Amino acid sequence: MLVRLRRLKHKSRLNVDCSKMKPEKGSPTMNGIALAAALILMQAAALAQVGVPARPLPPGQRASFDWDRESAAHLMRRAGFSASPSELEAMLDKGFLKTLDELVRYQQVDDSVMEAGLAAQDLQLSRYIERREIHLADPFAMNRWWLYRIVNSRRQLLEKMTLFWHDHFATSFEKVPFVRESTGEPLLIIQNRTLRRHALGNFKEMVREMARDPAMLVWLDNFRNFNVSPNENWARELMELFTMGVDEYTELDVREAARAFTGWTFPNGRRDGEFEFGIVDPLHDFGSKAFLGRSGNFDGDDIIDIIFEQEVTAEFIAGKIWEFFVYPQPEPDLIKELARVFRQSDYDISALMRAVFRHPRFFSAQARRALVKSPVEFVAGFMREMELTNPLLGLLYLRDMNQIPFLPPDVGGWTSGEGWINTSTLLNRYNYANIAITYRGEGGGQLASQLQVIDIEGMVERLGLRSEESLVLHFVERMAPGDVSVDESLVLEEYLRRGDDGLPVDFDIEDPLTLDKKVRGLVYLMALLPVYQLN
Amino acid sequence: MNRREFLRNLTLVSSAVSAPTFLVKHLKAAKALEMTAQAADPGRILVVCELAGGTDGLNTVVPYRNDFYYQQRPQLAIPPQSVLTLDDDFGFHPRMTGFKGLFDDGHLAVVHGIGYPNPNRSHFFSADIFHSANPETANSDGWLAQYVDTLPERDALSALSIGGGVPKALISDAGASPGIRSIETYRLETDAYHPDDAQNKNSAFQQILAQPQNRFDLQQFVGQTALDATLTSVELLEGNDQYQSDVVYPDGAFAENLRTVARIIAADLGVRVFYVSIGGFDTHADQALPNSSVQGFFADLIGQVSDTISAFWSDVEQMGRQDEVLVLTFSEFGRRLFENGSNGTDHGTANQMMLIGSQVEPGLHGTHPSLAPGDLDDVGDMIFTRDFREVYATALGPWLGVDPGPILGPQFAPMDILRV
Repeated sequence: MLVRLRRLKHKSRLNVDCSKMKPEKGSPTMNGIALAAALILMQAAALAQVGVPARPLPPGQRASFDWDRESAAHLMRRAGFSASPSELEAMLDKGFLKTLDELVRYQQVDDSVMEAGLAAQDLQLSRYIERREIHLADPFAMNRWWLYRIVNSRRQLLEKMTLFWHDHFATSFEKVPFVRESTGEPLLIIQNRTLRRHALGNFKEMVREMARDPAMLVWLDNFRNFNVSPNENWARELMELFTMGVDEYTELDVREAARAFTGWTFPNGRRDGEFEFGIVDPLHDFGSKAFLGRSGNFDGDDIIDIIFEQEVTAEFIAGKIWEFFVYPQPEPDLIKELARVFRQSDYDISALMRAVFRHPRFFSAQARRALVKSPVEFVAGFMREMELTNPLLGLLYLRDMNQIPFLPPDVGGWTSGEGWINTSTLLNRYNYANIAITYRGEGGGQLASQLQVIDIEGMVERLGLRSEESLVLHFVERMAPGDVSVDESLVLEEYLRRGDDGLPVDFDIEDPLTLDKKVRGLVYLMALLPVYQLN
Repeated sequence: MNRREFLRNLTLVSSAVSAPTFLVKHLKAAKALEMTAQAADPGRILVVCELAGGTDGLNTVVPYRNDFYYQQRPQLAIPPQSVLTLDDDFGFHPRMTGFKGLFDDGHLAVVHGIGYPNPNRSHFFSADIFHSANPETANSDGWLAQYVDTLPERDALSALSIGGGVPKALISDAGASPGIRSIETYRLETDAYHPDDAQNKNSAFQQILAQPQNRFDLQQFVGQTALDATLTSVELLEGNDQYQSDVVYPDGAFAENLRTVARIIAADLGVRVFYVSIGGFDTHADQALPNSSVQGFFADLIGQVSDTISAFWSDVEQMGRQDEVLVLTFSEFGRRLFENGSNGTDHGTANQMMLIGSQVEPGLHGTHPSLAPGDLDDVGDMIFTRDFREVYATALGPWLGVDPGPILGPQFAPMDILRV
């Protein structure tokens, strides 16, 4: 089992006085006019902020930050999967608040180019389903579909949140390789659609749907949770992993909650292959249950209601979101503040996410490069920065970096932080970067025809990069703006000037062999930088 | 110049080329010197196998004379006539023929009733407790990492995790041990079109790693791991041709990983601790076939463990290294005595640990927890009879030759189950 540092960090944030925090706006019920007005105000605030030098502010007030390339790259590494130079330019023109609004209210962003790309590459899900390729007992086809979206979608936060929720409600193809017979849809795709639909919607609604989700019912065995002899698997993880965190309930609460979910199953069993959810009364325990200090004839939805009455639920989710998007071990007062926003918006995820990204600590030095890139973030980030679109190659390397979407290691989801980094996973990151940047179209076969060649010569020419200084500067700005030290840059420049015998020579960009060898080598070395493994 | 310094001064070879002979010779000479210098160190190897998910210990070492067991498990109990008898009260699951063979040969010890106070039934917390050997602060340093930290010189090859990841047991503030998925892919590749430039890339990378990587907290950790990756991948190249074996391992990743352990043992790189893991034991449902408790999911899984470890042991014996190797198995918790309605078992508490080696005191050790209803805890689970840290103390003290006190606490004395 991998390192699970993050689980241990949720303990400290209880019993902290939150009465001093002021409420924040961001209610989902805000009407259009009010929203527009708020946006104008926020824009004005953003304009006022830019360029104002940083000065100490009382806690809880907004600090200023420069909306520059470094900040935009930081935002996109967190709220998305990094960005290409042209995307960053566009965001700098738009300003922070408009950029953030487009990330959160993603419906306003046209994503037809990505959809057309999926169609052109024959990667649409409907086609896989039609051809029943998912039956191959391998989530490969599903992952080609999802990773293409992750890399190419302009709705970056939607994809990032969907991956976050997949990690949160971690369900694996290993135990759930089933498809719905009538439509051919894999249960995990049905679940992915549900997570997508609620990714920036209402968290309580998402939990209610997960309690009825066919993949989840199979994954945590609740479809076989019957009154005669309850199965605790779902009830325990609902509280421990999905809503409250460990130590917030007793073993008795687990057993009583399990009773409340008895009979939440597939009424037709699994024989018809439909996996349609329903509640079967004769299998449900209608007796009284004692749960978290309350008692009554609770059913599953009552249990969820009671869970959402607990203050710790908003804190647990806010803490997990902060640790995934900003930095580990958040201060208890910060989590109280965010949990309040979450509760007051009735668990509106977009309100929480706005509060996270607009929080002064999001752009603070404490948050910069404070996370480790997950393998999907590493591969998708490299691709987006290098303007690659076909994720096939990356997909082949993800396994050895320890992350395959739809195949989380267990119900706890993937690791985080240092847990992503060991000697093996690092070598696989390096070797992926190597093959991605040095692939020149060799080999044959169907797979090879879909691999992408980076036209390094065209890129260098288009950008007018000629000297070793300009090359290093460009690729640092592209892949890690602001995060490469002067000494590291000098090593990279020196590398460009070294001949095959290791001795210094004049760097000549006009020599095609030098260009092909050294510029690809430069990108490779960039991807090997320790800081490049961080997010 | 010692081996470590030698490696640090070395510009790495390209992955396209194998390690030059002179390099291998230098490494071996330097290592031999190091070994002589640490004469007090017994130089033994510990192989830790984690059975993740919470194994059903009651269906592993079956209490086949216990009425309570049969009363509480109408569907899942292993019938008395099926068990592989170990003594008058206990027998292995019928699929564990490999372990039965090891037991009969006097190479296997079972320790009953393993647990710790106030058992946690969360997979992750309980696993963290086993990894840190500290129920109070489960996020403290890993117990095996603390052992590594006692060694006189930091050597990235002191402990290895074989498989996908590196467990918390091998991570401390001082760093994490390397993880190796397969020897074949454990190398740094460079542009195959320009092998002549590989040295330049490697030396630029080493120069970058030599710089202070502390602008961000995590950067140093990544830098150290990168350095370990480049160094250990060169060292492992030399191990490739040392291993010859006709032992047939079962299929599966767990077997592949233990075969990798055998290959690295053959290469004599001075690795002291290996860590492997197999998951899938979280058998809440369909633990066995509806009509046959001795067949099905759990039977296949525990059979795989038994077949794999016994194959590994044959390999170790074939190498003549049987007196140097000790295998230890554990799981984060056992499963509940009474079965649930889904032909499965929910999270429980006490479980057994097993030790395999030529130096173990074979047999069943300790006291099995009572299964009588009045003797179970308030949830209906067994009450442990022996703290897992006593087994850890045995592995650390008599076997690896370090004082277990500072790592585990002074109250956990080694058990008398090894003949060393």
